[in-house]
Order: sequence, then structure tokens, then C-alpha cells
Amino acid sequence: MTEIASTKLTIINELGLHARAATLLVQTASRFSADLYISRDGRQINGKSIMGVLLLTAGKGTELDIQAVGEDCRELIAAIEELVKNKFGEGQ
Amino acid sequence: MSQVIRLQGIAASPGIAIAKARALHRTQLLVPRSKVSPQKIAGEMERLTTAVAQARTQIQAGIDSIVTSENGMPGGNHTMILHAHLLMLEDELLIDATRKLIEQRHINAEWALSTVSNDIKDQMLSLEDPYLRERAEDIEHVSSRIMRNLLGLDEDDDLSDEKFAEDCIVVATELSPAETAQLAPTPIMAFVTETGTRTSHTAIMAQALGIPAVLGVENITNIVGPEDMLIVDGLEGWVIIQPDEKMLARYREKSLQWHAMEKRLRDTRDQPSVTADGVDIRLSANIELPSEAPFAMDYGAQAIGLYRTEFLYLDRDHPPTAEEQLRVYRHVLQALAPRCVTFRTFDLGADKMPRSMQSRDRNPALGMRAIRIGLKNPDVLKTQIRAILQATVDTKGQARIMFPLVSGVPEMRQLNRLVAEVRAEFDADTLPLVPVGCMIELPSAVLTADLLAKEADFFSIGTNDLIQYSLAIDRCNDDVAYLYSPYHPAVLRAIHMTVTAANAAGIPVAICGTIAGEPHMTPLLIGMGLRDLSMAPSAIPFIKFALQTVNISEVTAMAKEALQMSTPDEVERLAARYMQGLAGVPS
Repeated sequence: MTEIASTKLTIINELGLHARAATLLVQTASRFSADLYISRDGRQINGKSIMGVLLLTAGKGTELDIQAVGEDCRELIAAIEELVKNKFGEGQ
Repeated sequence: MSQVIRLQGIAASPGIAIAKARALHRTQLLVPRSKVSPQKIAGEMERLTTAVAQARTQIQAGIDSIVTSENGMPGGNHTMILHAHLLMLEDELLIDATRKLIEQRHINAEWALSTVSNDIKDQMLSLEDPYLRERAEDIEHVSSRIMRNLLGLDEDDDLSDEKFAEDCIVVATELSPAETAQLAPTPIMAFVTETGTRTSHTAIMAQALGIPAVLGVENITNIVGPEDMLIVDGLEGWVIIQPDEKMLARYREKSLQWHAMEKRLRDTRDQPSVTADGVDIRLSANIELPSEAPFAMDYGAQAIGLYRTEFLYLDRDHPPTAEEQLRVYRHVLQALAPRCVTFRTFDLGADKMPRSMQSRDRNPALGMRAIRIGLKNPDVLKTQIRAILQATVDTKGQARIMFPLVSGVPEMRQLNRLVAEVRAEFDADTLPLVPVGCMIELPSAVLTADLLAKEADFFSIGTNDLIQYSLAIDRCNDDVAYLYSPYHPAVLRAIHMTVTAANAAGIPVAICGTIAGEPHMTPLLIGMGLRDLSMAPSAIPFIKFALQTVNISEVTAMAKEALQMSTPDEVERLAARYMQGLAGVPS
């Protein structure tokens, strides 16, 4: 039985999922074995693909559906939530 | 047998250069396309894997070198972009898609890669977000790196590469301000680009460096081969590829003539800048980059009347740190000592901004610009003021702080308060006097110049913006360009009002717009009472010549007459008559 975890997140950092944030997100996701899927308005991309993440054009205030599939899916979701909540370290 | 090719472009900076080409290939790699037989598919895959692995090593090396030079501080903006590039190398949308295409269509790796990367770029370019549209460049960068590895071309188009260590002519599709700046300290003999105009950044930079530039040469990056010999004629706008002996001889001669003429101009460097009747006029230089400082001195600049600091803020995610600015400002003050440097705080507009400060103005010229951004982000502005003051303390140099786009007294007071707050952080005994003034470039500032003069230590008239705002002309709109005239009576009166107000209050006033460097304007400007002109370094010798024909009482009378005229044409004719009279031509 494949494990699945999911959540809904709103992007709150000023710049949205721009190069820096997208890079951090993909770098973080790549540390886990679980697959990551991010959808916006029904369009789904692979969360381990930086081009996919950039093409989401998720600016500040965008709502995203996040789904992780695989053994460490819960840890992966927690790590992504943490990143988004901390605004990807913006302004630090 | 090589063939001589002659291409016409825009003569953007004068001079003749003869040297080898160094092409910056970024967007114009020729992609070989071929079908691959099924048994060779695996080999194509292998080539792609190797090229990607090479690219990874190259980018990682870039990251390592930056981390070292930034004192071991990882995660800077530059490294972040390179980390994004590393991720792109792993990206399924790029690499897996390329593999799939090789397999399905039986085509070579180059063809597949260019198809896939063009597709992604198109998607990015169709996005509404201007910042993400720019990311298409990153994809281009990454895919062309892999492409060069596939083609076995020398690895790098990195600008800091040693391939620019010897005399060469830079040939590129286009050069961004940051790239031009990065190239500036190397022994570049000329710039040739496919895009650009006489007023583009590359042209301004070439003029400041005193090297020729021919811009707008279509398709040149595809035509010029590596190591091709080039002649760049910046006087007439020609680029000659693989010239024959006869042509080389002709252009060597032309180059000698040009240098002789230029030398005559430069020889005026140590001559005083005085009018025919012996009145001293201060001639200063406008610069943008630290590397321009030697040229300013070469051309005889007595000071830097305008140091544009925007360059530090461009092409990056966040404003520069205090340390970063301090290093640059110290260098500029040291290089120019004992000359005074007038630092203009960042004059960024909606089109020229670090990405974190970007806004989306419908009408950038009337929106968030310059000090408006600074007053909304006081910490950013205070960081710059702090760096300027600290650099002055460290170098014991002479500096002035100048704020752009001040609309009136309230803003000037706010700005003075910010400066006072930063000054309070310093030891009052060591802090030298740093005058704080403003640009006069808005009609509202002109109309209240008498009041502003009580709050500012000095004025500098920025005529480019003053003309744009006084006459309501968008400088980027060709349809209204015909209205743009420095001879407009409103412009003359604005300049005259400002000079009068400054003189009445006893504060210095200078002019630093383009017209300060135009010899045909010199009599009028001096006639209206200006004694301090700041211009592109290379214009200084010409203005010095023009001054030798200026007689204060004559030009004062002429300016008085001009100020009573009704139309730009009348003023222009008057100015032309004055010049003709000097040349002994009957009018």
C-alpha cells in the first residue's frame, strides 16, 4: 500500500515561487524519496522539477494543493509546510 | 580562402579598432540536425549524459569560485541562480524530455535538446509575470551550456573567462549593463552587437571607455567565426570581417588619423577651462562605473558631477549590502582623489529595479522611481547613505550626496532627516563635511527652487528628465520625439529660474544633463549663469574648445534675448547665429 499525504498551502512570501524560492523547494523535495506533486487550478506539476515549479507562476497569495506519495511523504509535506511558513527565508 | 565581409551597423561610439573577434555565443549557436539510426540511439543518449555531467561540473566550479570570492558566504544571489541551473540539469522537463525525443524521433541530441529547450522557453516567455519571463534566459543559459559540450566547443561563455585577457573585439547578440560592466576592466578594443542604439547602455559605456562601438549589426554572431580578424569603424558604422591587406592598410591609416585628432583633444586635458574673457568654468564628468574613473581624469574632469549608483542595484534579487557598496565607493573616491565625487542615490525606475523592490507601474516615469522608492524603503536608502559616509571617512575623500527626483521641500526635509539619522551613528569629530543636495528635474522643483534652496546645500539640473517632465514627452515614444527640444523657452526659463534661485541663496548650482556636453548649447548655458557643467568624460575636451569662443558679456546678452523668445526654432536660430558669427560666417 503506497502512502499518500496531502495538504493545502498558501504562498505568503512577497516574491512568490520565484527562482530563489523554487530552488529551495526543489532542493528540499529532492532530499526525500517520496514523489511530490503540486497543483494550482487543476494544473499539476512535479515538485522536484524546477521548471515545473517556475511554470506554476505561484505569486503571493496563490493556493496550492500539495500531494506527496511514498514512504517519507509525511516528512516531506512537513518540510514543505515549514519552508512556505518561513517565507523561504526571504528578508533574512 | 577566406572572404572579406563588410556589414553596416549604427556608429555608436567613435574610433577604429583592429583585433580578433571574441564572440559571446549565448543565443545563436547553430544546431546541427541529423537523423540517427536505431542502433546509434544508445550512443546519442550517452553523449547527452556526458554533456550534462560536464555541465554539472562547470556550474559547480562556478559556485565554488563565487563562494570563495564572497568570503565563504554561500547562498548569495549569484550562487542561488547557479543552484537553480544545477537543478535544471536534473529537470525531467528538460533532460528526460530530450531523451524521449531522441528515442521517439530518432534525432541527434543537439536537435532534441534545442527543440525541448525552445519549447520551455516559449512557455516561459508567454507568462504574464515579467520576472518569470526573464527565467527563459536561465533555460537558454543551461541548454546552451549542454549544447556547447555536445558540440565540443570551448566550454565557457563566462565573461570573467580568461579569453578576454588579451586585446579583442567583443561580438554579442546584446550586452546587458551588468555584462558590459563585467567586461569593462578587460582589454576590450571595441563592442559589436546585434541590437542596441546610440543611446543604449553599451554605447554609453563604449564612449566612456573611449573605444569604438558598432551596434545593430544584424546576425553578426552567426557570421563571425572564432578568432576572425575584425575591423570596427565606429566613425562610420562598419564592421569588416577577415579584411585583406589593402583594407588593413587603409584602416591603420584611418586609425592613426583618428588617434592624432583624439590626442589633440586630449592634450587639452591640462589646459584650464576658461572662457575667452578669462572666467573659470568647472567641467566635471558623469560616470556610472568605477572603471570609468581613469577615463574621466584622462579627459581632464575636475570632479565627478554625477556618479550614477543604479548599476549596483540591477540584475539581482536584493539591494546591495552596505559592505558591497562601501568597497565600490571607497575605490571610486580613492581613484579620483582629491576630486570631489557627487554620489547620486539610486535612481531606479520600474524598469530598472532589484527584483525584490519591483512594482508594476502603468506609467513608470510618473510612478515609483528614485527617492520615492527610497522613502518607501528608508532602510535601503539609509544603507546607501551610510556606505557613502563611511567611504568618505575611510578615504578622507570629498563627497557630496545628491537626491534625484525631489519634488519639493517636504521630500527634501524627509531626506535631510534620513541623512541626519545616519550621521548620528558616526563619531561627529571624524565625519567630514558632506554636502547634501538635490537634482532639479521636476517642474515642481523648479517652481519652488527658491524654497528648496533653503533646504539643500546644492542643486544640479538634470535636463533629460526636466525636458521630459516639462514638455510631457515620453522619451521612449518615437511619435512624440519631435517635441523634445532643449531650446524650448520653458526649458530655458526653468534652467534660468533654478540658477537665479541658487545664486540668490548662495548655493552652488550645476547642470548634468546631456546638453551640458553639447557644444552648441554651451554659450546659452554659460549665458544663463551656469559655471559648472557635468557631462560624459569624452565630451569634456569639446566643451573646453567651445568655451574658448565664449565671451561672458556676449553670451549673457544672447541668453537674455533667448529667454524672451516664443518658440524653440527662434532660440535654435539665435544659437546657430552665435556659432556662425564666431566662425566668421555671415548670417
